[in-house]
Amino acid sequence: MDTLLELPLILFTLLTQLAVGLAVFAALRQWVTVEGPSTRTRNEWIAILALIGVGVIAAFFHLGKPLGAIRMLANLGTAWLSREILTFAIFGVLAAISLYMVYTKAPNGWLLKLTALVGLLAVFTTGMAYTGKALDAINNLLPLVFFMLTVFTLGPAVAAYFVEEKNHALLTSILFPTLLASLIVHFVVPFIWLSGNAVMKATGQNFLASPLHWLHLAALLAGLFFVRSGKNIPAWLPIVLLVGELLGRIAFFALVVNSGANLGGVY
Amino acid sequence: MTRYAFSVNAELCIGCSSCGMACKNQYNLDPGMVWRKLYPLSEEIYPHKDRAFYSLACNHCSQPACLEGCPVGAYTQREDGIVVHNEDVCIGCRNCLRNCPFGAPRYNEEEGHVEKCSMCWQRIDEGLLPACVQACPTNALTLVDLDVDDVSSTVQYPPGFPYRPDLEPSTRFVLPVAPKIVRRDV
Repeated sequence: MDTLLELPLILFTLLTQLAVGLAVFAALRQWVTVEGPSTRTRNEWIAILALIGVGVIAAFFHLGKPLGAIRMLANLGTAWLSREILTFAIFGVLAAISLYMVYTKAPNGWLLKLTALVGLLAVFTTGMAYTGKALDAINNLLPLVFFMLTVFTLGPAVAAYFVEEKNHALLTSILFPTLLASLIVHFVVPFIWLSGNAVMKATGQNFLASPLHWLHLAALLAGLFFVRSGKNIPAWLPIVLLVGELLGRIAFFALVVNSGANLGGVY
Repeated sequence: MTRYAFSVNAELCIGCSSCGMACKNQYNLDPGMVWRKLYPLSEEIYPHKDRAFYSLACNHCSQPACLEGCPVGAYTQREDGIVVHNEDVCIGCRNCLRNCPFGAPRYNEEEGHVEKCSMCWQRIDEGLLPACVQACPTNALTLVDLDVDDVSSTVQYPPGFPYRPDLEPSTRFVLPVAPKIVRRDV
């Protein structure tokens, strides 16, 4: 796949997953600590809505005919891409209502929970949409696993900017095990690909030879080193994790080999 | 019922690319765009380099992954099995490129849509052969009806072709015969 052609999708998936992560942890904090309205909370929901907006605008640039985007809802029966568009549209509307609520009155816990749940459902549909049948290495649940790990890595990390430092413990209690799980998964998976068919093996070799992959792992490792239970999340760490996830996402789109590239060869 | 399919005889194919050229001429394809392409078999499969080929285009699967995954419904399947892509409906999301393991759909960056082999259904409806089949000088590429013709001596998943029984690609293959090397005694 042409990486430049896929840049809009790289941004769309990353930014919307960050938005879902923030929404999940906003709902979680509301549930656990019953936060009242505050400038930080408002800013957080503005950020969520902005991330969705920028992500969706980026996605339009992926299309050869952007004006036909509305027709993407035409095949909800079988196409995960149609379902992805629908769930993200609902997530966007709920996020906008949530922002309105936190601006005008006390945040509604149920609304925030619903928004977070729909956001997770949207990421689920993204995960299913990217299980391309031509992409043997990820024609399984791996995209879903990768995307959920991004949600639960970037969500608590970036939420640190919108949460008082005394409440960072809730974020680190989830961020640390997620970083550990993400590091293990992303380290192990390319080696598993090496034992697959020729297309999967080529994908594994691409990843292991790519600086993108190793820099992504380095960012996760840095996160593990500096995130400690009961301590604050350093202000620079979310940026490092965000860059790491961006590099990992570029690798995801650029290095997975298409089965059609091996026609005439041994599979 | 009729179930059209391409039959690729790799023993008869001489790699002249007439099929691909006929396809390009029939549809006046843009430069760089190919709907049918010749794939040489790797030496692990056939021991002589560039001596055995598969001429491949869309395999018009019984369970087309392109059709299933297309968000705008640009793909349809006719009763005779031909999978038709409507370029006017396509919005160029390229999801079908991620879903077709045979690399059949191609993205036309200039036009902003995907294109692929239509098995020349307009020609078939007029009682003509697909352009690629008509152009093949050795009859290596033929059109068969899987519901009528005897294809029992052909192979659906030969070496060098993805094994995807979940999609049921319709193309059938006759494998190339291994060459016999004759050496003069010294």
